[in-house]
Amino acid sequence: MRPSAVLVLAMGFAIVALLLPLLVFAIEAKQNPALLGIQINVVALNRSHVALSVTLSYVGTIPLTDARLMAGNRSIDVGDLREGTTRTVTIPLSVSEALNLRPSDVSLRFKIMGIYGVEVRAIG
Amino acid sequence: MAKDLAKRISRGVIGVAMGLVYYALYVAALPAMFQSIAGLPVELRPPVDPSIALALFIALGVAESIVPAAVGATFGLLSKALGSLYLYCATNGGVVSAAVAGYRVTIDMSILIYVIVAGSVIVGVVDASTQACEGASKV
Repeated sequence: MRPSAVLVLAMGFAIVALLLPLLVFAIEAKQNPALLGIQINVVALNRSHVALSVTLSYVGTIPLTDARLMAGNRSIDVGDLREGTTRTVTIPLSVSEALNLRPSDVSLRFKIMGIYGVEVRAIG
Repeated sequence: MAKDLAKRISRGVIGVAMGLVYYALYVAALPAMFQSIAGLPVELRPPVDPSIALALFIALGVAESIVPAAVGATFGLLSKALGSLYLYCATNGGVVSAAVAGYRVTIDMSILIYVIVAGSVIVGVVDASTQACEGASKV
């Protein structure tokens, strides 16, 4: 067997191994649109501040690591999301900050099995 | 004379076929794979018109097959490098994004692109050096 043929085989295996988590995540996301649920509530804390309460629920089999929620210039570490995980994070905001917050200012970043970085950002 | 001409023509045809294989792999199959694996309507940005890429791949494929094997492998390496460059540019370095149901989803698949680019170049270099060693041992 030629050395290049061995290399091509090794590269093929590496690509398949790398692709697998993304492939499984894409299939699961297609089958279940509620794979990663995001629920946002705004709760008044006092006259000057509100709390943006974000509940994330994940039912997929591929772990999502380094999840981070961004709202404006605030960044909250959510940690890893595994199958069946439900996590609620609260972001305190001043009323003026909350009023100026556009949908596109809120985003969620995570990594699929620590390999593929994903950012989900609302348009608008 | 006629036999030599037929041999050259057949090599040229093999070269065209090789160019088509490189085109199918780097311009059609791999970018399509990137579009479908993410399950997103990803927009690709080809750096050059696909017909120009096809012409280059065919030219390099023909050059690879008609010159001596030791030199031809260099053209093979060039084809792989060109294909890798096309794939890298078309997929924006592996960072693809798409609008889905009111959200913009961005996926960073650059690691996959780097594996394909590095693999292609390494395979090309090993192939070229193997051919060069075989050519040198025959002399």
